[in-house]
Amino acid sequence: MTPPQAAAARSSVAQCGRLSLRHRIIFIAVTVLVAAAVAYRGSSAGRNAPASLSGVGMTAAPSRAPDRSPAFSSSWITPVGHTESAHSCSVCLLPGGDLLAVWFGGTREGAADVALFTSRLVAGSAAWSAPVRVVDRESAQRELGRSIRKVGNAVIFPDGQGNVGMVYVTVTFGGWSGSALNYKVSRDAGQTWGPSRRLGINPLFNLSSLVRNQPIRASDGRIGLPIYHEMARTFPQLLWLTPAADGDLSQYLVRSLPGSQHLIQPSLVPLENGRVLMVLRDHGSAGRMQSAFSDDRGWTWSPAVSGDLPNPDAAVDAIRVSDGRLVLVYNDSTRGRENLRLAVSSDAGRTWRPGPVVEDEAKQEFSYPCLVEDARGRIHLTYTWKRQRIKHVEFNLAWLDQQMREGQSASP
Amino acid sequence: MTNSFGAVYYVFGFVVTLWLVFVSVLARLQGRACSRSTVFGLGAGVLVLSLLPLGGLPVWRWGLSIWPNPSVPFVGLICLALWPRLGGSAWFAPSDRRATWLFGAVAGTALAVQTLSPVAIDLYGGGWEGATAVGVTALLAVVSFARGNRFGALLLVAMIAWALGALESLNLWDYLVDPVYWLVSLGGGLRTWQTRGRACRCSPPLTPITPS
Repeated sequence: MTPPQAAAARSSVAQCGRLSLRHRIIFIAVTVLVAAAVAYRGSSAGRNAPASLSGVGMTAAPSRAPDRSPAFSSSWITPVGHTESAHSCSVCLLPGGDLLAVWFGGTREGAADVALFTSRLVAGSAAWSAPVRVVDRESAQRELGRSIRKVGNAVIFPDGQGNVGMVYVTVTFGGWSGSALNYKVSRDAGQTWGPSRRLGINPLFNLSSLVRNQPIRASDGRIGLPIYHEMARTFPQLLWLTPAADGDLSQYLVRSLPGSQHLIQPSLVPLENGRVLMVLRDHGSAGRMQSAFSDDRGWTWSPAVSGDLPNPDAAVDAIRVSDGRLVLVYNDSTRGRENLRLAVSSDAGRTWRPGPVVEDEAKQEFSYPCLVEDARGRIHLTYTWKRQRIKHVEFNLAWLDQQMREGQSASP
Repeated sequence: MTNSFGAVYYVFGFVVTLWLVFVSVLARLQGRACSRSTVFGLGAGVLVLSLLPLGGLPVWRWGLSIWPNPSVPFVGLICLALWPRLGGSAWFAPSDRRATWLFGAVAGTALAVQTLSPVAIDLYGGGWEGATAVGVTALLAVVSFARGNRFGALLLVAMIAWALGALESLNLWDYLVDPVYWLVSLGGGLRTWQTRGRACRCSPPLTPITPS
């Protein structure tokens, strides 16, 4: 401040001094009144642990008795040459029985031409629909009203209000640690999508929030979406979304897993009696898949511990299937993503028994798996195939049990 | 931001911040304070500049891209710094400003430490807890007012802004502190500390007590 300004400021400060007793009382009264009104408006509804959970995008109760004869098939979600690179597919079961998949594709991961695509597998059909471009850098920039450099991982899920929600990653500056999350909704089961909305997750410039796996759903309608933080310190978080009837979000909040480090891409499995299992990608040096448990429907979590299964710093996914067992898909290696294997747990995720190998080819990548079970008891697995295409594998529990008994590879 | 009020708040916060930067830089370059007409002219210029398109986006949206949630105390401090330059009298005493800088430094450090270092505590999560977060903020404001400090007024406005959804964040802590406010508060605190250190070194030595 220059001398004349400083002098002016000094004289006016001398006038303002400290608040008079009268003004103190008035301000305190106004504060109390405003706080009461604001606190009443922002009541604690939706800010406590959910009373109970229901499945969302995870397990659908079979509408009929599961097949007794083994069934296994595979198909492609992305046509040949659709994009040079395709990665990070997420798939969900829509209320009508269709499967809807979303992934990102372009010349390479992180390139400016990368876009999000969706494809649909109509219930009873064998072929996926042609990919539909739903978000790209330009549309995200336009809808979010800010600079967008690239788009990344996306997850889609029914929001329980008859709509389909999508949470996806965008980056304005830097790499993936500079990412932020955005929400958009489809009111016609994924045919068309509404505008995007930025989600405020992080206090430091709202940077470094990413998403990978399917959410759980509380019986009060809230959706618990597993997300993770990647800047300086990597740790999992749960984003609790409260969808409104009009498809927008009426509220959301984030809960971090305290004390956890080097753990990303959490996958949630709702179990009995409000217990939830979280399996995690090990982003550190342990080389082991990590697990944590919640006994209050995903609100608070135990510290994560290493399990027996290896993890080469790669995404895993798990679901609870109709007979109560858990099915996991993972890379059976401490380094590299050259194979993809299933494992089964009959004790709610405490131990895992390795099962059939779905893919195995040296110097190739099979990664970012996603599991969902449909109403017929068929388990659908989607994953990145050699970074070129998105593959879909469908099997039933009879096939899985047969493979577990015989210890065979699933690949033809 | 989720509503038009949010857009107005953001543009206002962006414009006044840039305005103060321009006024301060020009005053430093001139070696004297800007005249009132210059200050007004710069304000108009900054407003026009903020609305001009650059790379397909208005300039203010580039600000939004990297600084999405300017906190109310920071925008308030900017306004309080601009006001005397527009001919108004100072509303905040030095003790009020010190309290605001101290809050920015402490609260910002607490949130940054939680995000960037391995501590087993979720401080930021508290900002989602509606009634609790409002209660803590109101308590701070009441304590501030009870001590005769005007800093509480910025907390009061922040609570109102939160209720109106001025920022795209739904977390009350984002209305109270942001990374720019935090870093500026740390810088301001450091400068105050250095100034005081120099003042101590320059003060005359104590007169020795001579025995009678």
